[in-house]
Amino acid sequence: MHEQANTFFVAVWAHAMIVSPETAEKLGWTMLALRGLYPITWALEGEHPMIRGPGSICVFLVSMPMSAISIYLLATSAAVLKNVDLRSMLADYEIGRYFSTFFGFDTIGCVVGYIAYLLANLIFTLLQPVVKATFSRVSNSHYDPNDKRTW
Amino acid sequence: MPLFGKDGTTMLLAPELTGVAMVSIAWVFMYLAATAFVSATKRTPGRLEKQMVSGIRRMPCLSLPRRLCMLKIVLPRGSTGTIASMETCTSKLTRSSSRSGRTP
Repeated sequence: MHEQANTFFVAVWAHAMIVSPETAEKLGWTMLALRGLYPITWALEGEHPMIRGPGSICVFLVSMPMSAISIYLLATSAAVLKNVDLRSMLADYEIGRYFSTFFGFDTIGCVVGYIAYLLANLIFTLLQPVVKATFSRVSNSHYDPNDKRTW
Repeated sequence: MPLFGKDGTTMLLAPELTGVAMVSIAWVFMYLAATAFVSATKRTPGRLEKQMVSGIRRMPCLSLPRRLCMLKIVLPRGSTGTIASMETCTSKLTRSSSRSGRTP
């Protein structure tokens, strides 16, 4: 929670003061509920006989929706500051009008935020070998970043 | 954001921001509660060593000696607690192997 607090407070308060306090409150409670689920999913995953250690459920069902909400809150705040009307942009597209009949603008925005987060992670993963190549090898052959005994 | 209401009373927040303030306070309380729980029970959500040991124990493709060998690599050396946990792991592995009918 300590780690996520900065994003949470900035996103929620920026959205509340720039765009809509009601939406910020609603999504803020959603984020809080998701964060509350985090230790539960972690514990269940860690104790599950078939899942090897906690991780994927925590990340994909708890952490990433939270990040998606943060992205949506910050993106809509930035759009309002830049005088960009995202709702009318969504209505310009056929697919946007189609999904708008079933889901609200906030839901669609959060899903878009989730996809954006996934794409960002994909880009980072693809770039990782390139960045790694720019670092020189560690001279101490005993050093292993995954083994605390060699730190 | 008005600091004073129409009737002259002090108002720190605009009324429409009350909900957001409540969410923020709830976040802080939840953070404190989680921290207090972890401190009181001395529990951490995922100790690396514990995760690795449980992961190795659940590797069905490996034989018992190989899993024990991996446990020796994973667990830190030279602590009595480690030896105890090694023995526990060994007995658990032996039991799970005998239950599943695998020869160690």
